[in-house]
This record gives sequence, structure tokens and C-alpha cells, in this order.
Amino acid sequence: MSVLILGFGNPLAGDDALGWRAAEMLASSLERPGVRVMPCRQLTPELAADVAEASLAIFLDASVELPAGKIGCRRVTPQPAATPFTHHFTPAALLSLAEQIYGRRPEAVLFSVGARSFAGSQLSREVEQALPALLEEVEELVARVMQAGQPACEPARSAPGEDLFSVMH
Amino acid sequence: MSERRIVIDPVTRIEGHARITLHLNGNGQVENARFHVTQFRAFEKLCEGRPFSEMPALMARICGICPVSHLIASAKACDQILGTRIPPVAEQLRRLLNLAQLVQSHALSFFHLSAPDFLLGMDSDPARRNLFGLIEKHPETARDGIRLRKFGQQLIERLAGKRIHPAWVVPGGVSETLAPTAREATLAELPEMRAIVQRTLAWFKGAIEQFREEAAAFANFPTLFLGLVGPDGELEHYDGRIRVVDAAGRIVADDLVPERYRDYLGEAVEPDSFLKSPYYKPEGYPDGMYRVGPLARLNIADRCGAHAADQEWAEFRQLARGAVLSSFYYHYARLIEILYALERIEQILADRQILNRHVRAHAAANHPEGIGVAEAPRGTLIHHYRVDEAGVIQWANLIIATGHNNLAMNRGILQAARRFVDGNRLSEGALNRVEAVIRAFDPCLSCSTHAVGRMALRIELRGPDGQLLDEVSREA
Repeated sequence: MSVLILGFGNPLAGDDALGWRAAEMLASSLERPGVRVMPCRQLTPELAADVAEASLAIFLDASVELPAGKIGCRRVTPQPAATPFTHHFTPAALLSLAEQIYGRRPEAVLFSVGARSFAGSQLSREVEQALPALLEEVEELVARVMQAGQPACEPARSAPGEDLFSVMH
Repeated sequence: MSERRIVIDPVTRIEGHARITLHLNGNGQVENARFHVTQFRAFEKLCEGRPFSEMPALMARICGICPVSHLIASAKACDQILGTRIPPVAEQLRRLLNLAQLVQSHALSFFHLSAPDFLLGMDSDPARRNLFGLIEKHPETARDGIRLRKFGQQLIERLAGKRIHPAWVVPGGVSETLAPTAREATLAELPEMRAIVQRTLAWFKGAIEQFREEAAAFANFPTLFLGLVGPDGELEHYDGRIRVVDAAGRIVADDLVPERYRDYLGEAVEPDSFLKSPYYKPEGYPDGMYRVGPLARLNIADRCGAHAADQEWAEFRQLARGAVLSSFYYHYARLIEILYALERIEQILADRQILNRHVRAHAAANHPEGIGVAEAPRGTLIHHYRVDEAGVIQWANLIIATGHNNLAMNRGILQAARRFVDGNRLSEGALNRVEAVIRAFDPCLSCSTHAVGRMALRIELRGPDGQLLDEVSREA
């Protein structure tokens, strides 16, 4: 059983730093065999190799769809990239790439936090306040799947269902 | 009939934003072509007033593809401001980082950006002529490209802590030592990487014949070639002296001091582009056109200085009696440089001194000026700073590798457009070939745009009264 956590975003672009920041923090709190945490600026094709090796991939990102500070999660299913740009490379496209190139892909879930602003080098107050709850959700999910020995995508308080975006907090 | 104009905007599968204008005469023949770089970054100006010690980290922000190159050239300029000699192991660690950057950048250019043209065809469906189309049809090649690029990025990360915008290279050396585990892990991966580049070289050499037409018309003309060489004339990417070679392969100037670049390089500015047009001063402007980068480096060097790369280099040089002139062979040169880089990485890591802990010299600002020159993946990179007594930047001048090639890129698209574009009837394949000339140079227009596929593109043919005569377009 191996879990890969990919927190992505630009640390210099306000709330876009959310995924990066969360991954940096989880890297120490989730330091254990079978769990790999990777903070990254953006999703790139090279990450397909890392994704393909995992049993469960957890993506962390800021969202413009959710109200500021709200945490949501959804299961990610593979979808070929609609655009061949790395700047628009999505978790779904990365899963698809892993499947195409390496013939395997993990179960995957995306945790998002609604962003307030993408300017400056600080998180907004709402996103900063949501960060502890996000970390708790991820830690809880990781603990659960590691104990079960198999990936279970539905986080603790989300409604199950593919592509269903559930607001958790 | 009056003149007409075709605009290709934006140019796709390059790093950054640019457009091409083709000017047609009344018979629909291409008379002139211009490559316009439409983005403006202003790093020369915005760094004024910053402490020089911030420069490497600040300058790395110029680009998300080649931050390492700017880090190294900037740190070398700052070393001169300090007035120190950096510890030998720090120099070797910087060399390693530069070589890792070369591997990942060349792999991106060859496999992600240009291989779709080679493997899917210049005239293939543009909707699939990208990395994702490549994955569908040639997953092995796509996997090789991803693996090779990952290796380069991982080595950057092992050395510098992160892949993009690392700040490990500092004035006076580097900030951290190399971990023994990183050395061992990298050495263990090298055989697989060499196998990838050697099988890709074997395939590409076999496929060259299919691209005879492109090789003949892709910026295939006499120019000078310029770059750094080592003390014995070998391939060099970190230090060395400047050598200039002509189209016949004769050395025009040798042992030029990089810091005195202003004695022999001029910088012209054209009103329709933000990219400067450097030229070799003794030949004047624009006759002093020269090329830099992988093709130039293999043309100016007497040898590579690594066993397998030397064999490939000797075969490569058989393509022409003098210098290899067609810019199509930049792709070939990139593969040889990847092989060279892998061999040099192995040589450097084989010496356990690389783990030495003395990696940084400390000093305050002792000199008012510093010039750092290194070979970036795309060619010679120059950072030049002046500071006040407190070490605050007063003035900066940057000559980016892509800029050196500006004159040649302009002439190259004119040559390709004349060969492939019929102004009376546009075709997508012709459009792609004009773009592909630019892609052969692998220009990095400085920036964060990282296209692995196509951007939206439109090419219009308008009559003298502005009437739309023909159009080719595609969406992102």
C-alpha cells in the first residue's frame, strides 16, 4: 500500500500556494513508510511515473469553484488532457497519462479549498483558517487507508460518488 | 498586385510568446519574414536597487524552464563582485547542476516539443501532433522522454532542494553539500539514462534521411558559430574561453575573454521585437550574425571530452566538410549533448571529493562589477552587473542565449517560408514547417509558459484592401 500526496500551486500567488503549503506541512506529520508527500508548483508529465507507482493519490489544490475557505473533496477519474499545456494539466489528465504510459493508475482524490485571492505571497485569512482542518482530513484518510491496507477514496465526511464535489467544512 | 502579409500568432511549442509575419509580393511569393517576440520581462531594470546577494535567486525567476542557467551565470557574476575563488568542490557541484539542467531541458525540447513532428509527421493532424499524440502512437518514446527529463529534474532536486527556481547556488559557491545517498542514487540511474539516449540517437540517425527536405531548408546557410570551449578545445558548459568559428569550420577568433564580451559583441535592437539582436562586432550589423547552442557548441569544439559522446561527435561532424550548417541538426546535437552530460555527471560523481563539505567562500562586496558567462542549454548566457559600495545593483545587462540566435532565426524562417509557403494557397503543413524552424533553435522567450503541445494559432492571408483571402486556424 503506498500513498502519494501531491500538493500543487505557486507559493508566490496568494491562495494558489495552498496545495504547496499543505504538502510542506504534511511532509513532516505524515513521515512514515508507504507515504510520499510531494509539494510542487504545477502538475507536469514527469509526475505520471510517480502517480503510476502509488495505490492512492491525494491531490491538494486551491479552487475557484468553492466559496473562500470552504473545503471540498472529490474522487478523480482519468480524463485525457483537453489542452496539451502543462499549465492546465489537471489531476485527471495526470491519471490518464499514467494509465496510458505505464498501464496502471491509482485510486485518486482531490481536496480543494476555496480561494479568496491569487495576489501576494500570503494566504488569505479564510484559507489560512481552513488549513488545519484540511490537514486533519488528509491525515485521517491516510491513517484509514494505511490501516485497511487498501485505497478507499471517500474521505471521512464526504458523500461518496464519482466526480461528486462535496463541501466538507 | 500589391504586397500581402501572413501572420502566425502565436508560434507554438516554444517557451514563451512570439509571432511570425510573412510578407508576400504580388505573385504570392514570400519576400520577407520577421520573428517578433511579444513579451517583455524587464529584469535588467527591475533588479536595480536590490542587494547583489539576492541576484542569483532573483534572476532564476526569469524562467521556469532554465532557472539553473540564470542561477549559475548570476552567481558567477556575483563571485567576481565578492572577489573570491569558490572552493573546487563548489565548482564541481555547480557543473553537475548545469549538466542536469542540460539533460532535462534538451529532453523537453527533443521528446516533448519536437518528437511529434519527427514521429507523427510534419503534415500529420495538428490536433494529435503533440506529446499526447506521441503517447498514443509511440508510448516507448514518450516514456523515454519522460524518464530522461525526470532524471535531470531529480538530480537538480537532489542537489538544490527543488526542481524549479532552486536557490542553492549562491555567491561564493553553493549553500549545501551533496548527500552521499544522492550521489549513489544518481550513479545507479545513469546506465538506464545512457541506454535511453543511445537508442534514441540510433533511431534519429536512421530517420534523418526522411527529413532531407527540412534539413536543406531549416536555417541552412553560412553563419558564424560562437560559444565556450575548454582549455584543450573540448566541449565546455561552465567556464572556459569564447571561440568563434566560421561556416567553413575555421577558427575566426579564439581564447576570447568572456568578461570582455563588449569588445567583440554588439547588441542591436529592432523596433518590432523585444528580443535584442546581438552580433559579432568585427563583422558589423547584421553581417555579424552567429549561432549559439548545441549545434554551435559541436561546431566550435575540437572534441567533447567524454568517450561515447566523442564517437557520436565525430560521426556528427561527418555531415559537412566544415561546420554543420542546417539548424535542423540542432535536434541531433541535443541528443549528443545529453549523452555527453550523462558521461560528465558520471565522471564528476565518481570522485568522492564531490562529498567534500567546503562548498562556500564568504566575503563582502569587494569589486564594483561582475560578469558571469556560462553555457545554458540554448547557448551562451551572459550576466553583467555593476554595484555601488554597499553592494546594491546599479545596472545590469543580460544577453540570453536565445537572443544570440535572433538574427539567424529571422533568416531561417525566411528561408523555410520561401521553400514551403505558397501565398496563394496556405496549408497547415507549411505553417508547421515555418514554426518548426523556430523550434529547432528551441528558443526560450524567458518565461513561465511551458507548452508541451499547441497553442491557439491563426494564419491569415489578406489582400491589399485587407480582404481575407485564405485562413488556417486551430484552437488550443
